[in-house]
Amino acid sequence: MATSVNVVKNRRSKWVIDLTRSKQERVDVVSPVGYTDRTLSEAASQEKDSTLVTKKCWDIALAPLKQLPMNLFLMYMAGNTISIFPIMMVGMMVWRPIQALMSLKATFRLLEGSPQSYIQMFVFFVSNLLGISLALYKCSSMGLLPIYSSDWLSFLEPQERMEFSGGGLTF
Amino acid sequence: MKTVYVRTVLCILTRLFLLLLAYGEDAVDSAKRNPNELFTIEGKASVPGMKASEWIPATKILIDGGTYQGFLKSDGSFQLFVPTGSYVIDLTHPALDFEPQRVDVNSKGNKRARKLNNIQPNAVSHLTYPLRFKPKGQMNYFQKREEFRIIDILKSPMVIMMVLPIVFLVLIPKLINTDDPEIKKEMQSLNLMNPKQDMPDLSEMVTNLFGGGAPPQKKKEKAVKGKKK
Amino acid sequence: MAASSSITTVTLVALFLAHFPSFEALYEDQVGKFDWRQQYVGNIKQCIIEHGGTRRHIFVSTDANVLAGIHAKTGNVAWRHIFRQGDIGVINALIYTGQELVTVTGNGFAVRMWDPSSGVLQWETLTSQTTPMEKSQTPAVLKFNEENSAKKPRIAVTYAGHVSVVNIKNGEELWKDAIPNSDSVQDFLLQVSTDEDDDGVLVVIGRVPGIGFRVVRFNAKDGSVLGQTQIPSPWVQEDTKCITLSGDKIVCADTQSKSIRIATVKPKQQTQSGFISVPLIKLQLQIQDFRVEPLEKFSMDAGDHQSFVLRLNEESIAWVKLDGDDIRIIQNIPSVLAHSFDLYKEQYMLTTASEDQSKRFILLQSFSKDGEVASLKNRIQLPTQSGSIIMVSASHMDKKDKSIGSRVLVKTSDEGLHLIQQGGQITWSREESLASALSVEMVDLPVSETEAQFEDEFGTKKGDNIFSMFARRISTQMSQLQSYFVHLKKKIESFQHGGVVHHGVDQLTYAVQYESDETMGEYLTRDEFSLHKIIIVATKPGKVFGLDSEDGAILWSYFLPNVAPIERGGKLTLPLMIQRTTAHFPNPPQCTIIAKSKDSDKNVIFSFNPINGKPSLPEYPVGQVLPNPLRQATMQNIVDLEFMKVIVLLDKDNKVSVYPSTAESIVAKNMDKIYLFTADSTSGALNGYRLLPLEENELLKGEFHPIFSAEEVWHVQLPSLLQRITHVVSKRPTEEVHSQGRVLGDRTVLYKYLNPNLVVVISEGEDATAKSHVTVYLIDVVTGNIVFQTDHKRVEGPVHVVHSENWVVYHFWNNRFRRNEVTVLELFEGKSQKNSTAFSSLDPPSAPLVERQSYVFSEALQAITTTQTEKGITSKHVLMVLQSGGIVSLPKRILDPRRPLVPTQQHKEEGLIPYTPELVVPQTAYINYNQSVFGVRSIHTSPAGLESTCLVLAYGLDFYFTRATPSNLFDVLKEDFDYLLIGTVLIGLLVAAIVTRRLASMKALRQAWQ
Repeated sequence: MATSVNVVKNRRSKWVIDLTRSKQERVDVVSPVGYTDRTLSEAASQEKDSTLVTKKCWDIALAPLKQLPMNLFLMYMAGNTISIFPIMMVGMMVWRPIQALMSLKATFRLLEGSPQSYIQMFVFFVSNLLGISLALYKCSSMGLLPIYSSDWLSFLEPQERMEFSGGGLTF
Repeated sequence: MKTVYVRTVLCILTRLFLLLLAYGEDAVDSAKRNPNELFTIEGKASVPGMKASEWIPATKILIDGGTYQGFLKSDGSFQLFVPTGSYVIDLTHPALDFEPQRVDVNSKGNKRARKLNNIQPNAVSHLTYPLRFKPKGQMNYFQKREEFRIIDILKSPMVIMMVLPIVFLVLIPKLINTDDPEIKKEMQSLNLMNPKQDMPDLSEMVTNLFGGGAPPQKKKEKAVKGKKK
Repeated sequence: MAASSSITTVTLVALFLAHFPSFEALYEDQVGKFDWRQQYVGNIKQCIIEHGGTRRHIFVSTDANVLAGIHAKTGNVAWRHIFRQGDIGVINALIYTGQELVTVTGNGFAVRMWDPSSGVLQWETLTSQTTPMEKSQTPAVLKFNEENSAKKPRIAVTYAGHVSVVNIKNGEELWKDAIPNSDSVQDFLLQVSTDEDDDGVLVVIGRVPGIGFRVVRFNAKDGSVLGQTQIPSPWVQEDTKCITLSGDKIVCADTQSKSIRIATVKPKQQTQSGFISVPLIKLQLQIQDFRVEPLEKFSMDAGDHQSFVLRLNEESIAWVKLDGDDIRIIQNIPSVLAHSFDLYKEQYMLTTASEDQSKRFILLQSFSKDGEVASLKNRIQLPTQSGSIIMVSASHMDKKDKSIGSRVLVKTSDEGLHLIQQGGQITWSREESLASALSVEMVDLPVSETEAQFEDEFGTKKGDNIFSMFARRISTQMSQLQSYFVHLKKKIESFQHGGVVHHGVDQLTYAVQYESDETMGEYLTRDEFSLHKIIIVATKPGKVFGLDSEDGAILWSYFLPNVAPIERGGKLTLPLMIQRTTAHFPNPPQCTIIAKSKDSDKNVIFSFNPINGKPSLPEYPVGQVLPNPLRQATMQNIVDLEFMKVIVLLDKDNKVSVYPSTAESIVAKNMDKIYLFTADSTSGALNGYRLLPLEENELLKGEFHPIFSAEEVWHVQLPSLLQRITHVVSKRPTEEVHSQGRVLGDRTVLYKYLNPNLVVVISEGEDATAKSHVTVYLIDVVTGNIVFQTDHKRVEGPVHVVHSENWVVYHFWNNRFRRNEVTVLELFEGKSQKNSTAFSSLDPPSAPLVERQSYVFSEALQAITTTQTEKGITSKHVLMVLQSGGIVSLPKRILDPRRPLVPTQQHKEEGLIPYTPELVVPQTAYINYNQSVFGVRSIHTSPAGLESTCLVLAYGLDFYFTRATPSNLFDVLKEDFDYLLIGTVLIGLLVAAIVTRRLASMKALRQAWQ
């Protein structure tokens, strides 16, 4: 905003307002705290309020759904091997929807103002579930889901021996 | 002339006759020959660079893995006594690596040395007879300890990916003076943290789908109005 | 801060990844740290103490067909030659001329000359041009000097009805002649003589039992037959001892008429005058079962040596001399255990060993013609557990001060060797019975006392209130603290004295002497990873050793004098079983040996504590004799109340008894679960038995009374006309299998067929077309079901087998292609298990799928086994001892029958290596680097406390102990772990993080004030 020369000047006279300045230098005056150079719409905003609220609510409800294409792309890039990046990606993909599902109540409160809150809630819920299922699909293609019998192999106890035998070549 | 001619013919004839006799004798002899007769396989082993007294006492000769036995003499030569057949001759030493050879001894006592080929035992690839053994090299039983090298760590991709951006983040601000407002503006415009500009479209669409909502033009009008002021 | 901590993590991770090892092999600095080798020669037959040259060596020939030179000063083996097993390699004679060492082997087949100091062959002569016969008689060997000149030493050998004379200097065969009329001759004697023209004559005397002697005279130079005579003597039997003396005399000991018979072999006469009989009563000697012995066995110098030894009975000998036709006694020495003669300054000296009156000491005396040499009388005390002296070999020489000195080598009945210098001290001892080790087991050491006290606290003592338990815990921990401080102090002291002692290559076994029992007890406590074990070795002469696994030192030994090994299938065995380990404090550990008694055909059972070698039942110091000879003895995994495993004994009458007898009730409870089986090697019959209680009237009282009878439930008859059963191999009963199946490439499981009652039976022999043949059977011994059978045609033994988990690996020689081959069999149940909780042979899963493959292997083997770990998680390696002396560790992955010829993606997922027909042994797979081992009888593995480590001991003529880590040391930090580097990096980064945080906050503050 200010050039170096002006900074020096302003520093020296920070707490002094020079009212004798000409109109050309009006741009040098710092605007007070909270002042924004914008015109505010007054009543018109009231009309748009409900639409805006609904739109905002939809924003929140659709946020997880918008994550899905990005996640799909990330999944494709990460590949099926097990190394640090894919695991991190999958972890993130699982954790975010779970976190969102856990904060369902808070989200519901946020969405209360909108007339379509229930639909929005439903959409939110479903898109989070979709996110989790996508992460699980990624897990299964990486081979992390224990759906095969070989995954339960290490829990098999050795067979109990019912008969004891012994012997060998005769003495 | 004639006598010379006759003499040569006679010579050749006698030679042929003797040859036939010898062959015939041989044939008869082999029928009488003892199948258990022992033949001698001779050979010599030498190790360049080592004195004979260093390697000979510890070297053993294995014929067919121990079915027969032979011993090395002090000059590295050896003699093995075996009946007819095909044998694998191997020299073993704790520190030297020798290549085993196959020797065929037929019933007439002819010996043939060839390369040992376990996959195709009938393949013939001749070697010298009397046998010559030289070590292929020293036996390497050990693996080297991995030494720690800083360069190995620096070359690993994880390190490069983590360290280099940090280096950039630290070094480059030092090179440029960050207090300049123009550069600050540039840096902010480069900022990847800006939210995407086209996201609201989808939510707008859905909002319109479910009814309600003023058209977007009004919003723009208001903004324009504000600016004109 | 976040950036710096991530740097730390990244650096640490990178450091770890960079050090991950890629393949398994030893490192050069691990040499000698936890492995050791011992070399033995075997039970010595003949022994010569070097008296010429540098007098450094003692030459021995042994029962194990070994010729060796031993350093006289230290007892270590200087050089050694191992001849082939069996008659072809038996060493008949060992002759030392002062410059040359000559051996006659193979019952006269080969004569060889060796350089005495290095053992290198100088020349080799065969007395026959055909392959040696299967059975041959003991040859007669004679060394003589032609024309009495020491420059022309000759050796005469009889073999297969021929006599050959070889020049000792260059090995040239001077002449060889058939001995006429030698058909019914049992054995020969050789003698040198001169005839009227003063030519040398070699006299060959053949003994025909029941008839007499046939004498043939040969010209010693060219072998022409000079004459033949006969001496009829119908009293001559097969076992009559006869010797020849100079002056054409033959002397025989006629035990029936109790007289000595002397004959003179006169030339020129067709029949001889016969033997003159000299009754021994005349000599007023105590005689029982006497025999004559020459002074020098293989050597005869023409001259006036007409003396010989008369061994009168088990105890006394007489040195006698021929006096015309009569006998004169030179020395009569009663109570002699063993004696030997040697030449000192052209005179014969007799050395005797006898027990003195108190029976505690051994008396060594030296006698010359004129009487005892008083200065050489010695009283020595042999180590305990040595048995009695059975052989003595002495050498007299001039000491520095020109007085007479002697070195005496003594062999005791436990096959031990002791060298005694004058002065009566034992310079060194060798325990050669270890060369005939038959069984080996490794036993954990007991836990330390403080830990045992902990056990005590939570033990069976009930009714203690909480305060006393608390007080006991406090006191235990105080004593633990004290012992820890003592241990620290000791560690500092040992650190000051120098670090770990590496041992050399040729380490002599020695009995470890500890200052007190306390230090020994402290040394023998379990270390952290239970890698320090006691190796129990049971040997053929009946001596049991406890070796320290750290360096092979003998901790204790125990000699059972009247015990012999049991012969099974043509091989000698000594079953050794660990009945109770040290894990059950306060019950002492117990090991048991079952052997045969030397006096009768009954069996002996002996139990002892493996930690200190003392008998478990002090009232039976040499074991208990079982009333009935046994057919089979097995140890079952059933334990009684005191955690002792039960041994079930099956005797010849098919009655079963139980040892220890206190476990009878437990066995009776499990009676219907126990099955026994026997296999007869020659008749090819396999029988299975179950236990039934005995009838009331058959129950006997007393120790080892049978309590069950064995009823035959199945019988399998294998073809036995041309084949015999050579191997019956079952799995190790303490083996753990970690996973019940194999994971295939498509994530399904192929379940393993884990039948604990499966036994591999191998029979070798010939088939109908007279070609060698080997058959392998897999038999379930509870039902007698032959699960699988395969034939190998034109294949010869010896077959080496390993049977473990669900696979079998065996190795043989393929005669058709003239190469060694290795075959793998692996058994699977299929994609589903019939019963996942229990396996019963009476209701088995359907016939298993057998996958098999063969590979070409380039080496012949001495022994084979597999690694074993505590939980079976580590991958298995097959350990093979090669004939070339190396011990090779091959991963089981390359011996996998599922290896595909053309691998598909699924095979790669499973991790299968593509099939190649040849198994190549990489040089890094040798676990014994350059410590070659020969004469190995078998190789034994034992799990250690660490899951990744397996302890390996190869035993036989050579002992080699090491640790095998099939999957590298995955559960321990590696040895060269960079503590220093990581520590400095950590501390450095921490400091850097703190400093950077400080600097950053200062900068931020500065910026905020701008």
